[in-house]
Amino acid sequence: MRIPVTSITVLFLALTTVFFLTTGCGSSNTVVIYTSVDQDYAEPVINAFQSGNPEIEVKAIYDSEVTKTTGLYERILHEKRNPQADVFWNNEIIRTVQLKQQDLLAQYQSPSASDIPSEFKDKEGYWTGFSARARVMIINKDIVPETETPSEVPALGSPKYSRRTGMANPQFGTTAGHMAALYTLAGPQRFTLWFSGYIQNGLRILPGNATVRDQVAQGQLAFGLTDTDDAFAAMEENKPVRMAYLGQESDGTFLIPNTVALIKDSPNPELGKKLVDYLLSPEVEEKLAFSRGRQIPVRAGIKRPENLPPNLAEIKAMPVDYEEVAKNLEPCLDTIRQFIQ
Amino acid sequence: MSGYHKAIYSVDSPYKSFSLSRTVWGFVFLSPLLFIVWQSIPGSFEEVTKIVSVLDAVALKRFANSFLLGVCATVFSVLLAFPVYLFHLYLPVKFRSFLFITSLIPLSYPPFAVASAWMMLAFRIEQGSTGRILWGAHGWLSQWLYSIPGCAVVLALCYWSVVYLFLTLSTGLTKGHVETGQIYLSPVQRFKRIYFPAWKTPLVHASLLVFVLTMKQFEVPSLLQVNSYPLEIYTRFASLMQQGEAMALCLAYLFLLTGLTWYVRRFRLKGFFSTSHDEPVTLPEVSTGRVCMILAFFVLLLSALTPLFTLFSQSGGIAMILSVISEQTNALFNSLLYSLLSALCIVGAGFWLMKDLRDPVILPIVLLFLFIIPAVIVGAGCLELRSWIPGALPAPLAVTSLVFAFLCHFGIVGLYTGERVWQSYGRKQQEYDTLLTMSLYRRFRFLYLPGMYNTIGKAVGFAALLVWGDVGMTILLHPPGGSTLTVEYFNLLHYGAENRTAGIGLLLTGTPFVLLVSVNLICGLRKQRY
Repeated sequence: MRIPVTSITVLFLALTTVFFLTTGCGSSNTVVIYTSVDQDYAEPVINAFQSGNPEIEVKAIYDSEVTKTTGLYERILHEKRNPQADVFWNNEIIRTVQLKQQDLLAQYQSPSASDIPSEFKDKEGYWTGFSARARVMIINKDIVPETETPSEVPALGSPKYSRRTGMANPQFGTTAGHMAALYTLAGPQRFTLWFSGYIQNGLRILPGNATVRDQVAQGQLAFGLTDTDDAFAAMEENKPVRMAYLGQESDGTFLIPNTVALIKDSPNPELGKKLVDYLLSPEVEEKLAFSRGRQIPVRAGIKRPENLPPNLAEIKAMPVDYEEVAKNLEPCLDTIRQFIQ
Repeated sequence: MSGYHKAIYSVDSPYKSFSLSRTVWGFVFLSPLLFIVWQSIPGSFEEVTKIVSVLDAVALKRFANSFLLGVCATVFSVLLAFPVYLFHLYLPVKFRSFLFITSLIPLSYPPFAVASAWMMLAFRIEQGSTGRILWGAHGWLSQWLYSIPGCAVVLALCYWSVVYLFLTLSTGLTKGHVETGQIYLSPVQRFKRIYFPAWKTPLVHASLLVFVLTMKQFEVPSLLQVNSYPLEIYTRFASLMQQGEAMALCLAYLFLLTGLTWYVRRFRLKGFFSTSHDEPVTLPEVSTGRVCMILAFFVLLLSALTPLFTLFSQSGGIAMILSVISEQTNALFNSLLYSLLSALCIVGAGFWLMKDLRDPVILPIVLLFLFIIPAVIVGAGCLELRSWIPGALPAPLAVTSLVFAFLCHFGIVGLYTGERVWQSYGRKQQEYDTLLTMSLYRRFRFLYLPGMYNTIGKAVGFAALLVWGDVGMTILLHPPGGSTLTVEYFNLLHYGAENRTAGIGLLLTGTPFVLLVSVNLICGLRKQRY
C-alpha cells in the first residue's frame, strides 16, 4: 500500500502550525514580567506573589550581566509593536526613565506606593522606585587605614589613589548612571576634566561591579567604586573590606532605586497592576532588605538588618533629577568613550 | 520541460531559474538585517554625514584591537596545530582516530568558559606561595592574560583544532607523494614541492575561519578586559541607542569579509568531509616524530585537560557539581534543545539551498556578515519580525523564533557544508539522478542521504556547539523559563560565586565533551582510516 507521505506531511505541518499559534493563547490569567534584578533576589519575591495569588500565573524573564543589563531594555524596545511583557522591574532607574521618554510605559499610580517618598516616584506616574542601592567606595582594610578614605569621587584624581582604584565599565549599568549623574551635577567641562584625571591617574576599568569587589577584596586594588549590594556581599563573606558612602560632606551619594513600571499596550494590564501593587508593598522592601543584596528600603520604619541605615534620609543623596540624568546619559558616554579605548 | 532539460538548465544558469529554496532562504537570511537597516536609516542628510564619520578614533582603535587579536589568534592556532598534525602523520593509522577525537575536545568548549578557567587558574597560581614569589608582587601573569596576546592565546587554545581538522581532512597529500619525495628530494625540496602546496589551501581556509571566529568574539575579550570591535558595536547599539552608527560600524566587517572571501575562494578546497580513498600517509619515524609527540601532548594538555581540571577543582568537588546539575536541569535541557533544533535547521537549510546553487559568491559574504556581526543586531531584527505576529506569543513560537535567529546568525555553517557535500557528490551524478523517475524526496532519501550521514553529523555537531555557547541571542528571544546554561553562567559570574560558577562552567564544557566522545564511539568513527 502506498503511503501518502506528502499528504501526511502537509497535515502534520498544518496541525503543528495550529498548535503553535494556539498554545498559550487566551490565557488571561498570565502576567509576564521582565526583570533585570538578579534572579536570586527576584525569584523569591515573584514566588511569594504567586503563592498569594494562585489563580495568576507569573512568567518571568531575567536579564544577564554579560549584556550589561541592556538585554531586556532591547527586548521591550523591539517588541513595541506587540509588547509581550506586562511589567518591567528594573534594578536601576535610568533605563526605566529612557523607556518612559520613548513612550513605552503606561501610567499607573499604585495605592501601595502612597507612602513612598516623592523623590522616588515619577511625577506623571509612569514609574515608581523602591529598595535602593547606593554608589559607594569599597576599600581593602588590610591595605588602607581608616584615615585614608576618599570623601568624594573627584578625589580619585589625587596622586595618592594612583593605580590603586578600579571601576566597572562606565559605559554600562549602574556605573554609567553614576557617571551621568556626576555629568549632570558638574557639567560637561568639569566632568571631562575629572574623568581624564582618573584615567591619567591609572584608574582600572573592569568588566563589572562584582570584579571590582573581588579585586579589592583580594588586595589587587585598594579602592573600588561599586554598589552597596556588592559591598555588603563581600562583608557578609568576611572579606577584608569596608564601605564608605561618597560625597556625604559635599554633593551627596548617588542613590539607585529599583523601579517598576507597566508596559504600554501590554497583554494583561490589570494583572500587571496587581503585580506592581505587590512589588511596591512594604513586605517586598523588607524581603529585599534581608536578601544577600541588602537593598535599602526607601520607606522609613521597614524592618532591616543592623548594617543598613535605619532611614534612607540619613544618607545624603545626590540632588539630581533622574529625568535629566537619563537625558545626559548619551553625551556623558560619548565623553567617556574618548578616554577608554 | 523534461528532466534532462531541467537538469541542464539548473546547471548552466543557477541564478536565472526560479528556486523556492533560494527565495525562502533569501527571506530568512536577509529579513532581520533589512528590518534593522530600515530602522537605522536616518531621515535627513545631516545624519548621513554623521554616519560617514562614525569610524572615529575610538572605533578605529577597537577595530585594530580585534584585527590584531584575530591575526595573533590565527597565527598561534596554526603554531599549535602543526605539531599535532605532524604527530598525526607519524602516528600509526590505528591510533589516529583517538588523536582525532581528542583534538575535537577543545573545540567543544565554549571559549568564554575556557577564558574564565584560565582566569581562575592565573589567580590561584598568583595567590599560591610559589606564585607570589614569581608573579605575586606585580601580577605579571594576570597582566599578561588580561591583554591582547593573552586573549589571543586563550582563543588559539580553543580554535587550533579547526586548523588541525582542515589539515587532516583536506590536504590532498598522498602516500605516493611522500614516498617519492623521501627518495628523490632533500627535506627543503620536499617542503617546497610537496608539503607546502598540499598544506597551503586548507591552511588558508582554516585561517579564514579562525580569524572570523576570533573577530566576532564578544564575551572572551570582555572577560579579559580587551576593548574589542564587537563591544564597540554593542555599546553603540544597546547602550548609546545609536542603531544607525552600529550598523555603519558593521559595514567595516563587510568590506573586510568581501576582501578575504574573494582571496580565499581562489583556493579550491578539495575533498573536505569526504573519506579519502587513498592509502593514508604515514611519515617514517625519525627524531622529529618524538619532538612532535611531546609538543602534541603539551598542546592537548593545555587545551583539552587544563580547563576541565581547573573548573573541576574550583567547583569544590562532586557534591557541588551534583547540586549544580540538579539546580540547572531546566537550563541544561533548554541548552540541549536549542542547540539540537537549531543545528538541524542550519544544516538542513544549507543542504536544501546549496543543492541548486552553484559557486555562490554573494551569498557566502552575506552569511559571513550575519555570522560576524554581534548577535544583538541579528536578534533585534528577529524581535522586530516577531513583533508582527499579533497577540501573546506561545512558548513554542518563541522557541521557533529563537531557532530562526540562530539560523540567520549561523547559516554560514550550513552553506559551507552543503556546498562541500554537493561538490563532492558530483554535478554529473546529480544530473544522472535527475533523469531517474524518482521524486526528489526518494532521490534524497535513497541516493543522497546514505553517503552524507558522516558529514551531516559533523556539521550538526559544529553548528550545535556554536549555538550551545551563545548568550546574546538567547537573552533577547527565549520564552519565560527558557534560559540556558550560558545565561545562568554569566549571571553567577556577576555574583562572584566561584564554586557554583565553576560548577556550571564544568557543565558547559563537560556536556559537549561527554556527548562528543559518546557520539564518536557510537558512530564507530574509530573505524575510519586516516
